[in-house]
Amino acid sequence: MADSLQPPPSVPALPRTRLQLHPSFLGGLRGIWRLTWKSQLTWRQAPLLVVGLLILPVLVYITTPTSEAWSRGRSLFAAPERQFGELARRLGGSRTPLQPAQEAQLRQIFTEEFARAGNDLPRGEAHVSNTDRERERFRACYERIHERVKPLLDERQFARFENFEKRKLLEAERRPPQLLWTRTGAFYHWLIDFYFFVILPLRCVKGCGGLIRDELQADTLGFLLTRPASRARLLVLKYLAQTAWLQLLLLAQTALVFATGWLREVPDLGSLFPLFLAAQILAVPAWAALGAFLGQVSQRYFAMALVYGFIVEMGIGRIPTNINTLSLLRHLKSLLSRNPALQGIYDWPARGVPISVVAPVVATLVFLGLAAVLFTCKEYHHTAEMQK
Amino acid sequence: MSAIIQARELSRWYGIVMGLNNVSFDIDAGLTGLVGPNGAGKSTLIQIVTGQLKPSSGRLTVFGQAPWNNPPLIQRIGFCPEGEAVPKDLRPVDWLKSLAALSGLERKAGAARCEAILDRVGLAREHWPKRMAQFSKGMKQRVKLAQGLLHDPDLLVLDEPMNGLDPMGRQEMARLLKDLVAEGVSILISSHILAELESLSRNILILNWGRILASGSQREIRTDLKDWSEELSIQCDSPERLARHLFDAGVLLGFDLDAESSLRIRVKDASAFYARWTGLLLDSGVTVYALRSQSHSLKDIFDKVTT
Repeated sequence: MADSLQPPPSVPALPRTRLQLHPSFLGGLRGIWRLTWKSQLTWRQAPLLVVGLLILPVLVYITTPTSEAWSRGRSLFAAPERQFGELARRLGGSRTPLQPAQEAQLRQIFTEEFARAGNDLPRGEAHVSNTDRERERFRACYERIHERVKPLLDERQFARFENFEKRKLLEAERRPPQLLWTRTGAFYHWLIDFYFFVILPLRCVKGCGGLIRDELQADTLGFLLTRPASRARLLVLKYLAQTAWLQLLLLAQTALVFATGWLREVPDLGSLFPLFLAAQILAVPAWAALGAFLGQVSQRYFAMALVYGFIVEMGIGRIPTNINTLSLLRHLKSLLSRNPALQGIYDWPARGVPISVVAPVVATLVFLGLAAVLFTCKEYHHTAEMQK
Repeated sequence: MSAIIQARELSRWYGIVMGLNNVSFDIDAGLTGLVGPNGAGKSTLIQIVTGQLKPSSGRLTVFGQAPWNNPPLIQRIGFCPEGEAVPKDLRPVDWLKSLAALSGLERKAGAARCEAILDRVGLAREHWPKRMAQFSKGMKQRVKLAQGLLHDPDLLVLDEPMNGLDPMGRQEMARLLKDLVAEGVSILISSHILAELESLSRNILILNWGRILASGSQREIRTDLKDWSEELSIQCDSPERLARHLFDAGVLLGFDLDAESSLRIRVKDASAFYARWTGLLLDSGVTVYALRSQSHSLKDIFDKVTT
């Protein structure tokens, strides 16, 4: 390539009128924010970004059944053929086997009545609240079957049927209520245990751990260090821009997961969403600040974050003394436990709202302050870094 | 002329590796060349000047202040690093606008300055909408130079800026640098292409192994380095006898017997050697047919002292 040497031979020299430079925090933030999103929202990276955003919603969609599908699979009316088969075996075992004509008619009665009772189920209702009504319908279903089989069976067969009917009604009575957890369990596992406790912290650590090191590896750090901003300010600006980008990205991710949950008829999402969002908005800066700090400490910041997770969050956070206040997750869990559905499922110990909010903020400031101090004192040398 | 960069007993180590070894020098306003082979300490010196590294010992000041973590001073310095590294996914204007904002330019003034500076470094407008990943090495050099000039610095520090430029591009770059100097911008430029520095800069600083071998104007350097070491080729009837005689007289740094009648000698103090040469020759009794000194271009001197 000829280096595009079209400009005229004598480029007019700029008159050297001094530029008015006013380096400010907000101006710097504007510049760094532009660098951040423009370098991350590109056509080249778009497919990866979209796939990353869609993986979790797809997993949620696949693994969380709708209440209708769940009811069909798990309700008392789910298997008329099995119930009929059980009755036929019992009659055969007591030497009062069904005649072929009886068998056909009895099968038809069971199928029709179970289908009728199943169709009466309200669509989309939470299963847990319908357990009693389901039992009533089951009893009514057997009453109808009782009436219809009476003229069909002989006396001994009918007596056997009544015993069978009593046993089935008793089983229905003793059946434990269907927990909400069982149908929507996958949704909460993905949202809380996988996304909020694992993916979100690691994504933030990864995003902010490389604030400086990625620039160093790309050999572009010199362009930033030779701008009129102190090193501490530069790190804070980069942190703020990257955290804002992560907030947007994770907000989109959360919205997609909740939308998928809504599609799969997970109840009470309306009350959970604002609380989850508040917890996420608090968690992202804290994890990002941890990443920024670890990124200043070591090139292997991601491995260090995993070690931190095992020691502090999974270890110290579970010790039943006040030392567990060092665990960020514990405070975030405490915040989320305000939601009755989550509290019912996880039974997290609740603390006061102020400490649950203040602790992540304090953690953010401490980690960010340490990162800024380290960056101010530390020198980076591209060649030395690449040789590590 | 007062010095804009002053170094006193400046050293910089990387662990046990010496980057700069107790160097002291002054650099005046204007265009100064920094020459040395790889590993000489050029980039280390440039990074200290631009506030990216701290001295391990000693002191370096630019405009009277230490550059490390000194934003008001850094505001007066522009830097164009070595290599091709630029943010590949960005367009040049986007990148420059971001850096302009970080440098303290208002939005409108920043946008106007970016366009003006890209025009000035000669990046054709048809390339502005492209991402820099698509740029040639020379185009990247131009954008890097543009970011160094963006905030109108008093001192521009360029690390190997000619790399990747074709001859025409080099000519343009040289013209631009001369224009900048005429406008009052001081330039510190490092290069291993000595011919370019010879034509560009009046003052030169030669570094090797972290030490300053010579500094000053080209004439001063020539004089200094000629005395530092001189290589001569002598055609005579008895090279071995002449070599032994000169060696005994203590004027040789070394010698090579090239052919039957050819001797190459290295003398430390050329002036002193030439003063004694006639007497030494008469004493030796050797017949000399020809005496040839190596050329004295700056490049030859540089090659000699840095190898």
